[in-house]
Amino acid sequence: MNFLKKRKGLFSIIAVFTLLLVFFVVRLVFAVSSSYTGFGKSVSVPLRSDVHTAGWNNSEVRKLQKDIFLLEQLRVLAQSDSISMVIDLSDSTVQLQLKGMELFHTKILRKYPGVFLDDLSQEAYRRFAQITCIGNEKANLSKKPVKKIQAFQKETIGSGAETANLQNAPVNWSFVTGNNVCVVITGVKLNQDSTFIMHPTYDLIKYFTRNFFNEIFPETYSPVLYLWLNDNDARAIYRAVPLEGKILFRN
Amino acid sequence: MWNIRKYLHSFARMFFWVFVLGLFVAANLFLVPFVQYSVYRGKSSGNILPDTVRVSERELSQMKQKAEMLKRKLHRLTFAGDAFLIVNTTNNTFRLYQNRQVVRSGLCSTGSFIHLEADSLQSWLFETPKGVFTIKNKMTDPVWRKPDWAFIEEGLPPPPPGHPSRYERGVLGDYALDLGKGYLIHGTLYQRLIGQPVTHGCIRLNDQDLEHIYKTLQVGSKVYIY
Repeated sequence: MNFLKKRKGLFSIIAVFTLLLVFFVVRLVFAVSSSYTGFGKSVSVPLRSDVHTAGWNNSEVRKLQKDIFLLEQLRVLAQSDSISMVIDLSDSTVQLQLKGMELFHTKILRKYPGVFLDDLSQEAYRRFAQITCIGNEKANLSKKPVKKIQAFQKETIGSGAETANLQNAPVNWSFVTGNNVCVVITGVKLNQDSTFIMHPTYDLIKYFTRNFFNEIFPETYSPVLYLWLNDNDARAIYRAVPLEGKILFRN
Repeated sequence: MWNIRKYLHSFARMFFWVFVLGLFVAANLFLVPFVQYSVYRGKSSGNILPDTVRVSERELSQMKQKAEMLKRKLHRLTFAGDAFLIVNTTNNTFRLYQNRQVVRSGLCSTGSFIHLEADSLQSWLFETPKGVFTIKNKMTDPVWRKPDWAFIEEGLPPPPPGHPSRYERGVLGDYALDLGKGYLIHGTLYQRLIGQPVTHGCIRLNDQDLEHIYKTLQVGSKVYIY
């Protein structure tokens, strides 16, 4: 009895440690298996044609092939009547396009991972960089900041506008594209001396914690691209892109 | 002495547990997503095999030609004329382009997103539409033909169509450019509100910008609103 009493602390340490380890290992197994099962609907479906990707290993040829593919996709986008979004990771820009016209572009201030899916096979790249749709959108602002007003009881237009113009929390916008890439956009505000106030580590911890609680044992996986953009620009992009709008990646 | 030992012992125990829990949290938060991404990335790049066919110089130059041809085609397809205007309704700014160069930019006012409800049957949303428009008509000294909502907004009953009280001079500035469906680019008496979302859907500019845009854009010129 005395022996057990003395070792009580040790036993509890081993028990808790084992529990935590088992939890972690089970979660890791689920995570790895979700990465594999996600391939079915992802950009990474391995195809036999990958064997004959002439020149894909040559960086010059690969760049040319990517350029050609982008131009072909832009031509298709140019025939669309709606505003679409182009995320160019090689240039670190996000663009808005309408009828092929570049309406606006903004610099990506930071991205995580620093290099996102850079070594895709040719077939996987074509799936990644083809025109797809934005889905499963979540954001902390509305597409249309509508204020309802009853006739004869309304405030003046000027004061209504002032409330509409108030800038509140930075944009936080996430979506999953049709080719199973999750994009998380965070707005970065400017401070008084025109420098960006950015806390990417804090933001990442926040997102990772949220993901952890959303899916403790993950069953599905989408590679996540975290982008930090100028808050005003992120707001403009969010408001301009219609629901289920088109999106195009370039890597 | 005994107290210090006890204190150190409990401190070490607390430190150990904080360390274990911290390691556990960090592993779950960072290591698991990292492993997922690494597995995914490894799988997606795993099919890159050594090329079985080499690309000749001729094929390379053909690819370059194809890229150039596609660029030219895209340029032709997206040619918006000599001059066009791009309006950002979120930040209430505009950019005027001439020969693909920005020649003027500044603030404007766009729709307030006020949803005015007169009764259960009648309501209006004061929103600037997004998309690509062409200038249908150019006017000097425009006269505002007040629609019903202008009266309802002021708490007045709308007069019959064509009634003299429906016509107001001097409130739209010196020039107006018609985008169709009742939407105009025009001036305003309330210049201090330029840069704010205060309009009923039209695009308001200050007098100098309006004059410049009026003189630069022609009937048929494109206006992109996003």
